[in-house]
Amino acid sequence: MADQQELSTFIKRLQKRDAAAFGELVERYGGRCYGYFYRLCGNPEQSEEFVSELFAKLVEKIGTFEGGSFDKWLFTVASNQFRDYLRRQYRYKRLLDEAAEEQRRQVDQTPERPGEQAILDKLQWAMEKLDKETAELLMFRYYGQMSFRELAEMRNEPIGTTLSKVHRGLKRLRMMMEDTE
Amino acid sequence: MKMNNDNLKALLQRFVDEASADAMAEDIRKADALMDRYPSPALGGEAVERIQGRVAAACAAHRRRRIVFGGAGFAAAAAALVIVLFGSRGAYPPAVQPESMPIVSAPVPAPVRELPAVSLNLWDDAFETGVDDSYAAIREELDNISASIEAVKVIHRIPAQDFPADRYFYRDDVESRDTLLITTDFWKG
Repeated sequence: MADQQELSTFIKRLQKRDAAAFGELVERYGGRCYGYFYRLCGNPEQSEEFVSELFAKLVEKIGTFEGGSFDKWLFTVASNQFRDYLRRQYRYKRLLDEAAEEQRRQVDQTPERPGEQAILDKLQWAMEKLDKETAELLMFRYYGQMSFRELAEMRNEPIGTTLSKVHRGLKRLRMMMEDTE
Repeated sequence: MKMNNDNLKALLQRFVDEASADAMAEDIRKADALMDRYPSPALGGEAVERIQGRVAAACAAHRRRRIVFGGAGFAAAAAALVIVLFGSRGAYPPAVQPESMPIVSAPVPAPVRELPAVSLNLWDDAFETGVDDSYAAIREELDNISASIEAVKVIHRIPAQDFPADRYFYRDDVESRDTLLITTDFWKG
């Protein structure tokens, strides 16, 4: 949100649990949150459920927003939600490997110049080749639109470490994509 | 997606030499462009409406919980306040009567007005039962508080005009004034 005054007014409406304000919040952030969850889990229905749970949780948690970057606060709640989900999913890794294998089979069957959906799958396939921490860091940065400083503060690590992890992850992602094009 | 890459090269140069900073910055920009070229699927309009509906329901549920907890808190605070204010008034029969102290009989209290019991069920019609899972537990607790209040018998000498009718307690028959009888542990907090 460009205007600080507008943001402040909007936050106050949210903290009064104004349903219309939360409706606007869904419209403004729903797409980015959906993309974040989709890239991490690869499942459209699950991603919609994550988004739905996230905004329902924000109704309760909006009182804990104490100023600063609203985007950072919102995506921190989203990140915590996804990590809770991972902890509950004991078989997540096996499912991820199966999904990656399925994606790989789909990629192998595509023609020389794949259609858009195959390309999307290819990116998802590449994402799923990354370790969970790197994937989550890259998606947090991309969909949260956060600076490296904000990322480092949120992760409670030196900014140089965050820079290095992001660079390594993005470079690997790009190489995997370019290898299959 | 608008990425926050302000002064990325300057930031990288804090950790690596200029040539490496250039290369790393270029890697990051290219990867960001790749992600932009292959966006995730969009959240459909129907999905947005479903989510907005769920959020509206969450807002309504939150407001209902505020009413219930606010009422319970107020009733508990009112009960504690009345016990503090009126629990120490009146004459208590001494356990031991020292010889050096004159025996003073308790004065006859002023006529008091019988006050009606006030129901604490202020919110029975405020919302549908069964909607909020915590309603039954909260309701039980409020009934316990109400029963505790009913069980307290207070000794007082307050003239009727100083004890307004909208208080949450009523007093027992003044003829049994000699004993402050508290039948529950409610007053212990």
